[in-house]
Amino acid sequence: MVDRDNETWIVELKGQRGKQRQEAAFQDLGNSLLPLVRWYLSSYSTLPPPLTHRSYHDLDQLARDIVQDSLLRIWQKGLDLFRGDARFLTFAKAIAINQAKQKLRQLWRRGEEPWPSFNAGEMDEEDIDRLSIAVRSEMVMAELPPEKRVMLREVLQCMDRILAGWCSPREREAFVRKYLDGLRSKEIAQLMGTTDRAVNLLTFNARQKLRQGLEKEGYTLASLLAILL
Amino acid sequence: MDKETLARMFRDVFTVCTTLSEEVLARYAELEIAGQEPRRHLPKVGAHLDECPDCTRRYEELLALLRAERRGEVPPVPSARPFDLQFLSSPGPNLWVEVKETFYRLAAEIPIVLRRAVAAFGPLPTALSPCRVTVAAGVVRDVEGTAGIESLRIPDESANVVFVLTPGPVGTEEKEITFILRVEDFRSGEPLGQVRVNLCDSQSQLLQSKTTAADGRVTFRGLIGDYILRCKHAGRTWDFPLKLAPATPCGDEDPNSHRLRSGNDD
Repeated sequence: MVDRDNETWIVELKGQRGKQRQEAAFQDLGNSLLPLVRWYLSSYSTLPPPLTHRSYHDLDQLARDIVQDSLLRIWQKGLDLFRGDARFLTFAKAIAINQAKQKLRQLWRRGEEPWPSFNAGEMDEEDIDRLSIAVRSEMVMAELPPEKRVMLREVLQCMDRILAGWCSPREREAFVRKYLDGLRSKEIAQLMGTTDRAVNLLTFNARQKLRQGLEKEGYTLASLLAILL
Repeated sequence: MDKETLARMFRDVFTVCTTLSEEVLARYAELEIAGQEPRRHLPKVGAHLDECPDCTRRYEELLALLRAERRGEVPPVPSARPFDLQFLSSPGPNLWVEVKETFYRLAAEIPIVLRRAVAAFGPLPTALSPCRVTVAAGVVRDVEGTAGIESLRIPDESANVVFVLTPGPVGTEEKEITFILRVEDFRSGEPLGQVRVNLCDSQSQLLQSKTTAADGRVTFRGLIGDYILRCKHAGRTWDFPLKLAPATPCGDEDPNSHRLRSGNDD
């Protein structure tokens, strides 16, 4: 690969030195990103179920698809967004990682394997009252028309199942304290005997699992907000 | 628990923070790899990373990748065939970055610089180019006596709207600039009145709020610095990041810039 400085990358990728150089620059960029994306995929600990048992050949193809998407994104948006504060190749690598994450999420949503079943029934009565989003949202549900009430209850019960089945007790507690009790990270940290940063990480993990679970059930943000309207 | 709390919870669950751009993360990671204390160079980024697990995770993944590469742990992958570059034949990069539903941001900053009593566009993002327009009498005629000036037409076909940005008179001592935004119907070219246009500072704090007149125009005066021009129309919002730079002491012309008004051009 021909080594280039930032300006040369931008000028050539934009096609300002002719089409031949533009295509050569994109091919070089793709070839630079390919091993990195391949490495990222092989080191990714939570690959979507259909990929975990596949051969390396499939991961190679996936890496190639991700690099192809990254080149398109760099062409469509990246060249104009780049300001020259970092090295262009590092910037392109950051884009490629984001593309890889998006692709993995898509595959995860489309995954053929069933998701782990929720550990329903493991909540005791006290937990249900204190930690259940559905129970604590009864007043909101009462304000809604009957059909929306049913829909909201299904969503919130689904969230309860995800929190109970997929999240650790501490993740669940941090999430509930933040969103149901309305406490700040610092207050939650004091209650749980930990740091603000740890609380943020716990709620982040809970949010991520909730997002994956709700998407798997076919919910989107727009569909959830529409219930509340 | 009320509706608003539930809605906020839903939004937080589905929203992934992308406050730190890929380039900022790349810069921070480069400093870290080079052992140059990124927190000292970019304290605000460091503070955000302390608070935001979304960005922290993106950063840590990039850093892990760069470290593995540096240690020679990334094995080469022979490229079996060339990448498909058909997209290069498409009309050009998208002008707009979708920030969230019905919220669009111009893909790059519009740089406007003052030089020798004229305003000029700096290097413009791909797919944007200034065009020559005739403005209504009296709008900029008072400065250089020319009615033919250059503007930037920024279309959004999906919303059937065009934004025409025209730097107006240069203020006294070349320290300020006026600019005019005209909003048009994409297909008919008719001006669109009653479009809300907010002028915000670079932190999105509202400075001025105006509505386009019947001729589709709105004018902001006496500006210099970084701004965001925020237009709201038909339930959608567009952001235009503007960078209005003061005149350089020597008044050197940037060969890449596009002069907006010059009596010698015609």
